[in-house]
Amino acid sequence: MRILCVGLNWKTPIGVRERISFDRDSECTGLKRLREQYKGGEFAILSTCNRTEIFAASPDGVTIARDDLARFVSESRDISLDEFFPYLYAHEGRPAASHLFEVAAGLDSLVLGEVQILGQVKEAYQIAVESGAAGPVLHALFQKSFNVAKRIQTETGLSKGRFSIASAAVDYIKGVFEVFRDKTILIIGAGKMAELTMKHLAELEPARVIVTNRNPDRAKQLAEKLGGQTWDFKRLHDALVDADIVISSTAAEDPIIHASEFAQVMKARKQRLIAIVDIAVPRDFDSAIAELPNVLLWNIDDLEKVRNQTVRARKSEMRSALSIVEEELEKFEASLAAIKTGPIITQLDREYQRIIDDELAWLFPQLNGLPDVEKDKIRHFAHRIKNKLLHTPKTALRDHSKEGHHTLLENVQRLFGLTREDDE
Amino acid sequence: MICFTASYAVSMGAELLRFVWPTRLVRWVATGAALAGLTAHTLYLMNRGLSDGRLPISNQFESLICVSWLIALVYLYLTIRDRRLSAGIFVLPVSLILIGVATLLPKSTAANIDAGTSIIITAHGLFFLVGTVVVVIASAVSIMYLVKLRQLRRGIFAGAVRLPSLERLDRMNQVSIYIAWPLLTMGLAIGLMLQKLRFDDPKVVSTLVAWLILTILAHYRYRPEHRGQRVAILTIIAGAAVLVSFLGDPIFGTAHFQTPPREEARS
Repeated sequence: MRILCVGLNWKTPIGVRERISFDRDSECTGLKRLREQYKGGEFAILSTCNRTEIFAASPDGVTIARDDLARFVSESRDISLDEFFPYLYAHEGRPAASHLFEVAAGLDSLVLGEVQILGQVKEAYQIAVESGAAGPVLHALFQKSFNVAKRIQTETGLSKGRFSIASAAVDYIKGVFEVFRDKTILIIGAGKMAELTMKHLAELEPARVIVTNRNPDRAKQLAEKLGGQTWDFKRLHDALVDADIVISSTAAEDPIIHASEFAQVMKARKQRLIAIVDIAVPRDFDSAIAELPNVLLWNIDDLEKVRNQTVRARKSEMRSALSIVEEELEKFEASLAAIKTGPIITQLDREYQRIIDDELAWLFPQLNGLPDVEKDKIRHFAHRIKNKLLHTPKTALRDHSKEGHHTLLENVQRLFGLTREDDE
Repeated sequence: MICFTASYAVSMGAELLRFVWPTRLVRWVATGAALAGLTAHTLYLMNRGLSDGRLPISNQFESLICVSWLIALVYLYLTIRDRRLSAGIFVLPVSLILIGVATLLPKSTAANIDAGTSIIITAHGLFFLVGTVVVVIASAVSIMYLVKLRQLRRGIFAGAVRLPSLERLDRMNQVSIYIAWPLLTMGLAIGLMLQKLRFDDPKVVSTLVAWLILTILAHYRYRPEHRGQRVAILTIIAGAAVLVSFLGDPIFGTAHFQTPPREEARS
């Protein structure tokens, strides 16, 4: 069996990626077609918005080449080879396995260390299993890739940190407050960003959500979507006195709240702690407000800091992650060798045992009256000889297979007259 | 003593190591070493108490060892409750410093006092001792508050020093202050009852100053407009004042622990 991976990733222009991607139905159809075309082959198609890859395990005697799979993609997705061939990469054998491990762990993702890809790899495997396109090799390969991803997620900091405004805002607010069931969230502005951030904040289950906007209709629309209530924009100061968390994203050209005004707000709210997430560009809250006691003001520049910290932290974890991939590759190759040599070794063992049983069946009637204890000793003696005779060939088979050579397996089959179990 | 001091030092070292190597193993070493240290510490105090048939708080040495034991106990509680919390770097140094100071002091106990007075003196010491521990914890929590505030203002959400939210730290501070103030007040009241209130004793004067600061703090805390950063700073000041008063004898060169109540002195 030979593992092959052919595909393209986020480095390919989006136009090409879009045309080449498979949906669930086309994946099933494609897998069926591949199985018919390459008898005994195993296949899985991983297709996300950022990558499309085909993983194949070809049985001995069947050759599946990069060009074959490229043609399959071209025909299935109705796109000419010239359009995507320059972006196509192919990995074979160990590098193919290594590639899947890296993909599952998010090491090959646009956002380094992202965890969503693992779910997508699992889904691709599930479709392959349901379509009957995954066999023992791809089972082992994909299962191992899930283990590798999980190990990397738990043992390294590769998936830690935040990239999006919304998720970073949630982390920030969780750093300020502990309990949210008694908190009021004020949303200033009714834009997309505010809505997206609020959707993330909804997981905190705040007591009250207030939306205020210069355009009351838009405020009403957003409030209905979020299950909150509207507030007159002219009474913004009163809303600020009530609120514990503020999300601001208006399109105002100048700050809508100045430090002197906010000092009055703080006085009115008796210096109660407030967290403000200002995601507007230009900023809605005067930066001097951050200097006031008990005010935590976080703006778009801070997000950039968070993003940079995350990138730096994740990059520093790459080496540890890659060493886990290497370590697991060794284990995978050993398990793959066991998949390949296992049936042959079992057969070899069974064949020798059959000879022993035949010979003992001939011998025991001639030794009339031999006590059972003595018979057991003879059986044990024969078993020991079998094990000692087979020890060296078994070890050689395993070692040879681990190195990726299978000629010895074929020779052993021929030498001992063993037939393939699947042939049987 | 070497055993539990070394264990706390190892725990402290592991807590510091978590800055550069934040693995589960290091965390377990920190907790394991603290647990081992606390066990040895408990056995040491039990041995001292049982051999003399009294609570081991009858001199400055024992009081310091007791306070450091309580602080280590609180550290372990906080760590077990939230395993990722970096409480050790704020709490364990105080415990280690107190043990360090204790080693410089004589281990002998006070002169014999009649049983009735002894119970009152023990209560006086106990209130001060537990009150001091609570104020020290409140100060450590306040330092955590200021560090967390700095982290948030710098946009550090998941730094090497993992701390609870500002709201939780503020509540911990509030609870600590509200527990500490009555304890220290009771300790002071019993001291008054014992007529130990001598204004020529610097330990007494420093204790009164510390109690006044704590009273202001408790009042400050009560008012909603006074909270957050200012309260944290005031708590740290109160913590320092309480520690100074608690360490009074070695600092001022006095012998408050050895001084019998005034009536007894007269007899």
